[in-house]
Amino acid sequence: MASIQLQNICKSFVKGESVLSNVNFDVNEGEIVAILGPSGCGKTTTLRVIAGFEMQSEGTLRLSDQPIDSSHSWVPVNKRKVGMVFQDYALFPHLSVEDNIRFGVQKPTKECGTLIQTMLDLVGLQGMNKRFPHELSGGQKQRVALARALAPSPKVLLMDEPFSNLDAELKYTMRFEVKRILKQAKITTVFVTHDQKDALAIADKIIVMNKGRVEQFGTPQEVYHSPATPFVARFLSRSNLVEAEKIGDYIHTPLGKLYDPSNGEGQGYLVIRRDSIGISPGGDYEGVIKQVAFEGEYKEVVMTVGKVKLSFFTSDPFFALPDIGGKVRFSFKDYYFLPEQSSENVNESKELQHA
Amino acid sequence: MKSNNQNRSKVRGAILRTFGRFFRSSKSPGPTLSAMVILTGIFMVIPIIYIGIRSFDNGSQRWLELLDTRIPFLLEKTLSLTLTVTFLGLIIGVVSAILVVKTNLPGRRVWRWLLVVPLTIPAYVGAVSYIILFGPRGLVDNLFGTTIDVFSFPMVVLIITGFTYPYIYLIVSASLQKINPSFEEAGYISGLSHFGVIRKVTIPMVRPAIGSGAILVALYVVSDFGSVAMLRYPTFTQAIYFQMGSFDRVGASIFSMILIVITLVFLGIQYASKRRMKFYQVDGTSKAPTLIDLGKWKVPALIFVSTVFGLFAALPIGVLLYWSGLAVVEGVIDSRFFAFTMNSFMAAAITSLLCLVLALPLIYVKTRFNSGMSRIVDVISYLSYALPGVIVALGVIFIFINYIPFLYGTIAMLIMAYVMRFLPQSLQSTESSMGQISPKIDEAALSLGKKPVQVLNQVILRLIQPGIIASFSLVFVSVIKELPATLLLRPAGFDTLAVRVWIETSEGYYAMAAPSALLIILISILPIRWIMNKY
Repeated sequence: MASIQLQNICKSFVKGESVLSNVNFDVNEGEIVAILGPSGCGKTTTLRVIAGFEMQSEGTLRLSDQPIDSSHSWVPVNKRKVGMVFQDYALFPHLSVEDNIRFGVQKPTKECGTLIQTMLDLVGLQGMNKRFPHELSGGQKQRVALARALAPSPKVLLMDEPFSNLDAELKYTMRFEVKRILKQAKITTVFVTHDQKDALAIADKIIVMNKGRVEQFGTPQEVYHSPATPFVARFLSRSNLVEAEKIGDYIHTPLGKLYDPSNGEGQGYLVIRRDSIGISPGGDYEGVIKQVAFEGEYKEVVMTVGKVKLSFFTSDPFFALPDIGGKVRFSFKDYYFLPEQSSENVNESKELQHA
Repeated sequence: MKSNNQNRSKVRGAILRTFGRFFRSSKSPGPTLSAMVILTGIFMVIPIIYIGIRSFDNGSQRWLELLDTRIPFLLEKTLSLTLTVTFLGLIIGVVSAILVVKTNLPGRRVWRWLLVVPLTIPAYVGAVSYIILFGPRGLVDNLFGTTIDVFSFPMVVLIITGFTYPYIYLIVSASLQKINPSFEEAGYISGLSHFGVIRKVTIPMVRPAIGSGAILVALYVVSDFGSVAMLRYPTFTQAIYFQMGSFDRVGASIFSMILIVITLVFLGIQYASKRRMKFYQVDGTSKAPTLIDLGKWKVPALIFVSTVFGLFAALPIGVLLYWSGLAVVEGVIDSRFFAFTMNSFMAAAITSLLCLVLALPLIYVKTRFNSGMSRIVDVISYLSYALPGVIVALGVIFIFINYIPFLYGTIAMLIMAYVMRFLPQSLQSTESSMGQISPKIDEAALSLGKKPVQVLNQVILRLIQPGIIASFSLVFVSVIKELPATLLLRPAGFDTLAVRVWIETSEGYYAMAAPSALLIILISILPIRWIMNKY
């Protein structure tokens, strides 16, 4: 049974400019779902529609099968029984940790004591009851924010950019922590992020959004390994997309003809992920090195083959990369063909590449 | 690298010689500036110390006598007025701030400004307009016979509240605008209604601002002379004034000491609440706040703000306009009116300039050097609240009689009193703009080959120009409005607008009081921009 169901949700703030168009997805009970996309793609608006801070212009939202739309009842935020973790946590500065957690709980004070204890244990903040928000570190604030959102036992939990306020190291540990807490609390969760790493690491399913539309909805493996649209391919793995045409079992590209027995026909793209290019003296193609960035565990290299620009990772410490302007031979370890979407989408993905 | 450093220190040496250590940012400001700070500090403090000494002129006998009789009475009167006005001011100020900032009140952008207008009307001018309306031989009196006693406690409270609530309103609405909308959203998502969110989230978050505004109002009430004197309500300021009028300077000094203690207590509370405010400050956000839909409360809310604006802006200004019109018809506005307008302007201009000259070096010390000196500057600027006009006047009289008797009775006394009262305003308004110039900017200009004089002209003075303008206009307006010190210290025949308002109202010549009062309001409205920015 779906905990959250979005059916043809549309939203526009100004007439004629739609922020969300026909957004559809289901979130099952206990699942963690990430809404992933660049800024301005409508992901936060989607979250706010679920929370009830915004009302959808069209379409039906179902929370635990209760329909919320213009023809049924409009359930206000404070009656929806959703929990929310805000981007900047929004811990009440005038209340202690304990009182922050207690804030949304409508229970006699007696029972509250054990509940607060359970919550503090869950988020790993035992003994911090009396602290005030300004005395907490960033990670601790996030834990309190989670505890406060979970304390009233909401049906679903929403998180807005949960990791954007944390520095790189803390972000890494908090990803594991948040996943543990959510799974332990068995709470249905939807969170919004612009960082594909957050989404891939935590979510059971990922919704990739762009320009108010859902581009793909699937498991992390699906969206990463078999992107449905050029946008997803670029946004999730920054894959190389080369304009191509598929005729029969062959993909025709400016690089030459590549064999691909899978289905598909017509205009589209040859997609090569950045980890799928291998350099070797006996490689199939020859490129000219344009840029090299040392990233620690690997180097990211950009090269051109004729007019085609390809970027890839190399982590082989024994292979001496030629200097910029030098020539290198390489082969594709993996590639596939992605048929062209509607013309609109193609333009968008081009914009993204330029940005 | 080394030669570079040498060059820099050479440049610095040149600057130091030229500007008496203006550009140095070491720990100590150097002798010239230190001397200026200390002398200004002494200048501000001596009169008060003198009042303290004089209060024991007849030993402790006079103290005991007054502590037994007048002091308990005045204390009760002063505190009951202060607390009632503050309480009522809190209700009006907080409710109107919430309506304007947090709800979809129709015309909220216009109301935001309209509700500040009463602040530009000095409380005694407001009182004058109410006396004209309801007082003996006033408009209502003439038309319907006596109906409302304008000198009764409830009316005194209402009138003084009406012209002081904007302090609370301004501070609270500034604070409300800074609240990150996420806090209120967190309240809604926890199951609270609109009213619940306001009660349990919004108000607790602006509580320090509410406290701060309340203390400002309380300080205003205990230290204001004009309004209580015109409304014939006995408080310490009024008692000091009349004691001085009957040349009982010991009695006046004793009342002054008590009043200073009261203001210091309030200042202490304010200082503590300002420190707490730091924890409450939350990062600003670009998210626009969601406005609460007033629904069926729209009409009552509109009635509320219209009543406040009507009673404390439209009504007084209307009354004064009407009587000024009568004055014009009767030909009251003659060369004498222009003479005391000129007196007001001249005193205001001299004081504003003097304050700037004194304030700029002090603020330089405060913003550039982190030392005991900057703390002295802080104390000086805080003293403004602890120094009601009557007390300043008393102190200045003592100083002139004892040390500079040849200037006694000249305009110098008046200017000194004004500078003592309003230097803090000048300090506060220049501080914000001077504080924004990092010493790095001086260095940047120097490194680009500018001479120190050019740095001062092209960079520093340009950058603090808004502060200079703000300081000048605020002090100018304050001098125009000042009443008690002007009454007590003006040279014989030196009448100002404020003095005329006082005299004509006391004698019941409303048509002659109205034009001066109206002119004071018009001048006060001019710097409203800086007044609003201050909070």
